[in-house]
Amino acid sequence: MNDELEALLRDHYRAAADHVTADPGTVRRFQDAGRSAVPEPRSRWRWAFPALAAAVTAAVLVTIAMFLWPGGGRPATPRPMGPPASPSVPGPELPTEPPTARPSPAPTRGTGGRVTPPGRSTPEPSRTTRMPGTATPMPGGKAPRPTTSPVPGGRPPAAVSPTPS
Amino acid sequence: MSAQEIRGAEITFDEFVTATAGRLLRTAVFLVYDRHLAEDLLQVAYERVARKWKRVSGGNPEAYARRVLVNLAIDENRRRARRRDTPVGTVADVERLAGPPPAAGVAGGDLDEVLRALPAKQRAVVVLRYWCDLGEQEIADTLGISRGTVKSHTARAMAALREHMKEGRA
Repeated sequence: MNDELEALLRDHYRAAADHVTADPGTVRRFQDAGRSAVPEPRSRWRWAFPALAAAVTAAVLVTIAMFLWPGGGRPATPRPMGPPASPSVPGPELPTEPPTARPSPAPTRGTGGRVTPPGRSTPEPSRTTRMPGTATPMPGGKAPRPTTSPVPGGRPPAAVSPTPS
Repeated sequence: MSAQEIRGAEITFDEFVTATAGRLLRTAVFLVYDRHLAEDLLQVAYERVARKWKRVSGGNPEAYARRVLVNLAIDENRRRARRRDTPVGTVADVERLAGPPPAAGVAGGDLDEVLRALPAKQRAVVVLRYWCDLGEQEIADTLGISRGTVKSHTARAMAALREHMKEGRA
């Protein structure tokens, strides 16, 4: 049954194939379609010139931008950082050691006392804080007395009880 | 289709088309049962072969063209089956889609009706097996499926044809 069916199918296709032929016009149409589907070699380089021009333009623009940039494209010369200016000791010397080895100008808590390096001035913590005892010239030649005296231990002064007179 | 397949190494694309157009056109007609559609599909297949001619010509360009053609035909058959209810286009197109007459030159008959009614892949397997004389592995390579799937498609198609033959004898 299967062989018979296979033979029938083969005969059927063979008989039908005689009626289907590709005429020269159809073959030419296929050839033309194939030829037109292949991109011409010239068209492959079609975008070469515009792409090259775009690349050159971009390179020129980048170069010009680098020269016009502040600094002219060169890195800024490194300047050493000096210690904060102290009004009490004029003429601070430039540090010879790296900045990390410099003592911190801010007073640190917890240390009993600071060791001042010999030959160096003690930097003032802040220029705005008014230290007790610093005299401010007043008209009349009198120096104003401090209203409060620093108490050791940081405690505020005891309140003065009024004495009956 | 016992003619020797064209090897592309020593021929140009035009010579390849001249040598294979008849065979591939018949294959296309048996796949879609529509002469005009078959020509259109074969033209698309030739265009794809031409685009890859340098790479394909060294091997077996006819097998490549056949693979493209068969897959185009399967896609087209599926598309037509999906749009059977709503045909669009000119009057001639509608008649072509709806009308039972087979493609010009194809011998009509009950067997054609049964072959036309087969699902796209089953029909493709039958055409490749009994018209192109391909083996199971070649059919599997052409359709991009496994040998087991080829066997099952063949068995189902043959069962449908056998059923038809029984009915014809009864």
